[in-house]
Amino acid sequence: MRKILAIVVCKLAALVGKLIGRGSSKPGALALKICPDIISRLELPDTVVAVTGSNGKTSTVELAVKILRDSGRRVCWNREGSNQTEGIATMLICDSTLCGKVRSDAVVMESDERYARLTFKYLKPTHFMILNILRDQMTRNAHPEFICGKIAEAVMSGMKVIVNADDPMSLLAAEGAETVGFGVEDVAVPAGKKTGVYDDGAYCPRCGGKLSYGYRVSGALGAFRCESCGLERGKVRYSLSGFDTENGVITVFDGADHRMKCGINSLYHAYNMLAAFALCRELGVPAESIEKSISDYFLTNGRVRCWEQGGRKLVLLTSKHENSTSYDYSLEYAARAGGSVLVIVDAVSRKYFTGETSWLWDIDFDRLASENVRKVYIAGKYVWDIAQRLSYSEIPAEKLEIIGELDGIGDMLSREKNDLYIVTCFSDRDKFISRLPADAAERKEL
Amino acid sequence: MIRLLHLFPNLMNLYGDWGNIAVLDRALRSMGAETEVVSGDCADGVDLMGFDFVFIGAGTEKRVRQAAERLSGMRDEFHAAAREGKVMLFTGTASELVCREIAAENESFKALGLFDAVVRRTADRQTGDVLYRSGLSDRLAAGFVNKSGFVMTEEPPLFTPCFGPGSFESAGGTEAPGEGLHRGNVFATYLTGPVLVRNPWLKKIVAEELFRRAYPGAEPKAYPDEYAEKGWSVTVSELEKRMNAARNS
Repeated sequence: MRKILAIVVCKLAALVGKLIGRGSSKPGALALKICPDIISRLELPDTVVAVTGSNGKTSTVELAVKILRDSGRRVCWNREGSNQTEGIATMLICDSTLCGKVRSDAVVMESDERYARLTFKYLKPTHFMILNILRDQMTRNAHPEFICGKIAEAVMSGMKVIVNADDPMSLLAAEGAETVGFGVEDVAVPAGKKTGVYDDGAYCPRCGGKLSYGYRVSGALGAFRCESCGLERGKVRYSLSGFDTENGVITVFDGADHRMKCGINSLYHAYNMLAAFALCRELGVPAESIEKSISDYFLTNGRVRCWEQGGRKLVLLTSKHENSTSYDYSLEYAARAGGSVLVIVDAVSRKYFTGETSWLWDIDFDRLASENVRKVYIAGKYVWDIAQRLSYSEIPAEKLEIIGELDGIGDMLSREKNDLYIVTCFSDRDKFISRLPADAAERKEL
Repeated sequence: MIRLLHLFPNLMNLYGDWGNIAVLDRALRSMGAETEVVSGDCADGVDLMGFDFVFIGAGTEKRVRQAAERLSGMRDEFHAAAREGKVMLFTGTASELVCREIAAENESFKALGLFDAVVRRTADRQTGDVLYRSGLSDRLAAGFVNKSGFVMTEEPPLFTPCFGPGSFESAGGTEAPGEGLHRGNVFATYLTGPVLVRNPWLKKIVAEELFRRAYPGAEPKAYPDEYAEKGWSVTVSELEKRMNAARNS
């Protein structure tokens, strides 16, 4: 009885939430209050996938869902990215019958790094993907080693772990499980790729010994080996064996080459495409079908948006504050594309308050010293923290313009005639969008 | 010449620690000092007396243990350097290294023992934005702590928390008002990341002490610090709003 009541309340709450445009975790929270083990009481399909990691969860899940749906499967997934237990409860119940049978053929869920171990008590995935474990949100995630321990607690026997073989921390979290690896080959690393301002690959996360690298992909990711304990890059079943940055074409190798066009021409997106490819191959989708599904696919999650205005492009690259890797990839993309760049830090988080800005010192802003970059604008409440950080970068002072408060953005947009890349977070992106000129027309392609 | 030593830049490096050395170095040069920055993860053979400033930043709990091991043969040198008035800054979890002992659930290990203090590691973490008062200045220290431990000591604290977690623990196991350790020119605080970046007044105190010791009688040039000062003001103002809201609720 409690189960049915929880399902009904959740469905009604979700309906109301949809009408008033509210978040997706509340209905699940209500259901869990009525029936704390509601998730384990649901009848699930044979395929349940969880995707976790510091970077790329939402994009990888969207790509995987696109592939699975195109292959004819009905998929239930947390589109809004609500990745803690409550959000997952909402997702499953909304897809279930009143008796609690999930209608879809597969569940694909983005799973929070810290909470996966809690969610899995009720819902054990058949496939668990670990994308990476990197510096991310110190304010809630402490440090990568802490998160590695939390993810390791979520790894259980009987689940297949699809893991980023380039990442020492992810491999450590998956230790002891049945794993399938994916990774990037040296030939696919763009020439001149910078590795960032800090080195989290200096020491082995297992024993503390020195790590040596055949090559680096990004940060601690690469062909690593610990001379002390032998932890090394894992076996790779799916590899990114080529990346033509000129044309934005990647090659994925799984015994044969598969060429796909990158919807977003960056190694970050290529990594996500590789991960989605690996996952869906493990779920039995033919490679040709995957190629067709995601080649040149432009993500609909709104992380990258593009407008045409006054003959130039305005490209919003939604990044994660408190996550230097996310920023590094966005800055690299902007610097390669060419134009001007606007960095906004107004609210550090949309979900909680913090004035923490240490992460600015982990971002490799030197990427913006490139000749491709005409001007660097900075704005938001924490503009002075960014200004101080940039004064320690290689960006020439004359290239930098401090806008200050966000209201100055409108004036800048009327003066700046180059393509403009806006790098900011979920917490601040709508503040930028609301200041767009009225004649800015959104377009999909990049 | 003022020589700055950044020990364990990779081993003990969590979030922007390098900024501390960068801003201190620039401040000193702006004041008219000549400087040299040396950094390395190997402490063997390092002559502390050859440096004017020693800095160690935050690391994971595992790395603190490794750092303590690497420093185990250098306790006497650290004690001598402290007695001699060398300026030392330990931030984040590196502040645990100045204590006598670090006691975790399954193990305990010795640290430098510059202070009569013991760290009691906890299973849970204490994190949050903080505002601290100190006897060093009228201005508040702003920042973030990210730790899983309390300090048991009778030593006077470096800071008194106004907002956010402290780190001192009374004999009864309840948190006592206090954070950080300070004696002479040794500063240790759980404030993590680029502490001197975010607190220009503290950077100034450290820089002026280094300058005074290196160039007795010389007058340091004033240096512009507009961005840091404005950044500090914004952060403190935001944290004060939170603090007042918490008090009123």
